[in-house]
Amino acid sequence: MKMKIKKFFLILSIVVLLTGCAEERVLEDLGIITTAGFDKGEDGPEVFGTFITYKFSQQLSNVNSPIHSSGRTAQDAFHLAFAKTAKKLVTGQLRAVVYGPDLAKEGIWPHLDTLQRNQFVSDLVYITVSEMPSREVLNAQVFEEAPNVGIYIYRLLDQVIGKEEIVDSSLHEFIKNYLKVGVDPITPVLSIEEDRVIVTGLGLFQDDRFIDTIDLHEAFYVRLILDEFKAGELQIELPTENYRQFMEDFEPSPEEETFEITMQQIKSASQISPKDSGKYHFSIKIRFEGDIRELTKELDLESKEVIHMLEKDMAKKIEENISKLLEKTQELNVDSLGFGTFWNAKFKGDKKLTEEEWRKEYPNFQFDIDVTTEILRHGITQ
Amino acid sequence: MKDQLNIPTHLKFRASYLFFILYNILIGVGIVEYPRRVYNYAQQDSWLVLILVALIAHSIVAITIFILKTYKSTDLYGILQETFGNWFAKLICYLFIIYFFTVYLSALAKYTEFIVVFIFPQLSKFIIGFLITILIAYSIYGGIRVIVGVSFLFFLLTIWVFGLLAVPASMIDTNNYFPLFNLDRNGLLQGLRVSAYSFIGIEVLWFIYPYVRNKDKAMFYSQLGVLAAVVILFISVIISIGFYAPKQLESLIWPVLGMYKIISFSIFERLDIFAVSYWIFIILPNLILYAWLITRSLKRIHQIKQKHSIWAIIILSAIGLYFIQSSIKLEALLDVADISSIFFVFLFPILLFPFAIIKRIRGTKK
Repeated sequence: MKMKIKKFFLILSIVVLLTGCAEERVLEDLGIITTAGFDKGEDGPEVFGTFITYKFSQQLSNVNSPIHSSGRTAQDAFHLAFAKTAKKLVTGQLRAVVYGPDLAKEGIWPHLDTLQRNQFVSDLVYITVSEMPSREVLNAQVFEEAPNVGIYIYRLLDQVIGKEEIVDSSLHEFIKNYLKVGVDPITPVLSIEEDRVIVTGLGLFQDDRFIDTIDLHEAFYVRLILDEFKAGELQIELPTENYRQFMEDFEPSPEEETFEITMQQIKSASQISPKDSGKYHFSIKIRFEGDIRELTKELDLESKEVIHMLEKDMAKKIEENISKLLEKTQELNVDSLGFGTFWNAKFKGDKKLTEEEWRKEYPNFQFDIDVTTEILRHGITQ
Repeated sequence: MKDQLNIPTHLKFRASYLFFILYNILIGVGIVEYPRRVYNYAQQDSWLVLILVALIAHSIVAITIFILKTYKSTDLYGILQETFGNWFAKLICYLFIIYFFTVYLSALAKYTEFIVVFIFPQLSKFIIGFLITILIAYSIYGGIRVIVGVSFLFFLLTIWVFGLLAVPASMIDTNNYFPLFNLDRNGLLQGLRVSAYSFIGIEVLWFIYPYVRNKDKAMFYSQLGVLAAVVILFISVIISIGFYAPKQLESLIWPVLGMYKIISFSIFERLDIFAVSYWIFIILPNLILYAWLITRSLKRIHQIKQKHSIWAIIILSAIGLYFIQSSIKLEALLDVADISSIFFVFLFPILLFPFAIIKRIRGTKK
């Protein structure tokens, strides 16, 4: 029995003493970075870094005071920031990285590679681009209940992506799309408005170079093709002309040429299949269903005829918008929707697209777009 | 029948535990990097390669059990002694001991590498390795029943960790699997070669077989154990291919651990750190079984007590860990384990097979 007690205390002391062997980290002594921004330095090849950290003191919680530092690389800028704060900077809680437009236009892969190599950085970090230098975005003073602007940006993106407005843009997604032949990465674009950070659209990349932005309206169609909606929302403009006869019951004669219709609870599914016809030919089939939430003109929704007309016209409009979007990507030569991967998944050998061929041929890709829509309900009124 | 092992009945265990032993010895550090290793050669058809290797592994298990059954109740040393005489049996067993030690050391070094890279970059591998070996020594002191118990318990403790892979599985890009059957002969052969490392551990049967109480069921449960390991390997390969971009998978050292980086719960944000720490429950039975194999073979040859020889292993592995601090040296060690596994796991039973058949034929004539 005595032996057992002795043994127990021996083991206990080992357990207690050995925990001291590893490095200790006192929470209050750490500068926990939540968001980092990188810009091109003013002179030469320098990278200008902005770092937002947690503050544990109660009184200071509403003041945004980013740490700035510049270095030759992103890692260097981070490393040199140690001299600008009394806390030990750590990256384990990094939630978002913002790249300034100048830097992003030159390519962000070298900077992403450092992030990826760092085991402490999560793969779920949001990668974003800003319209103005990132230091201005991170200098925003309004960040609602969030403890700092970094967390605010994270919550903002979480909310926007959760609402199915834009596609996911984690570090993992970006790296995956960058490294894959046949698809280009996309990221959200951040801007600043009345001292608060906002999402303005999606940034299209060619490889790792930021090329252009599309607005949130167009971003809807990116998602429509790439992903499926479970509860999306869409506003569409339709010509009044065809519907005049159904509007007469409500108002004499509408003057506007067009009216708006808003769809909610959109469920969608898309299917992209390459076709072998000597050219790079793709058929895009989209099934789309939802509820009417808003009409700017009153329509007789009782009649089946109107519903069918609406369905048909909406489908046509969506097809138009998609082909506009695709034309835009072809002009910019960015295959953000990844048609190249669909091609390569179907064909092997000589027909497979190499990286160069894909870049060269993408502007000549041909698309057949076929959208079918269905209106399920029209709210709680007729 | 000069060398029949008489294992006391209280040390024997039921055949169903072979399932846990084989599963545990097959699933270890290897699985963490297996998807990348096989993908380098076989690309999107990696899963096909895995199925082929699995079929080979299943037949190797069948051959091994067939040989063991022929010789009734003895282990590898006994079989070799009866067939080839004393000194040759000793030689082969020594080779096995060296091989076991290489595998043991590479697994230990690999796991300490995870800890250093993911959690404590400043900690010496030596300290982590030392702490783990204390646990191993404890199990060896406990004897075979503790080791079997550990296998059983840690199977239940760890099997759900692979269930978490459902999260990356939901982010799969199905385009990555196509076109199917794009494999050339070279890719297939190289893929088969690197897959061998994942099947290191089947040799445990050579030494643990005499401890099985109901030997008629041994075949069924060991095949089942191998099958369970194959299923886990298959899942990890399939998810890795779909989850990563091709170039990404080729460049990631530990794709399976990397997939845990994408899992995040509101109360537990970084599952990868949890996964790395929790992986010790996967590694430990593995290491314990190898340590047992080494000490057991030493006991068979020289009657050295296992409680003594385990300290030799601890000291030797500490020295080993001291010398393999860098990942390049570790890779070199893994390559040795890799190549030797092809002989010890796959070729050796086939070489022994004819002798077992001859013995059976002679036996029936008498």
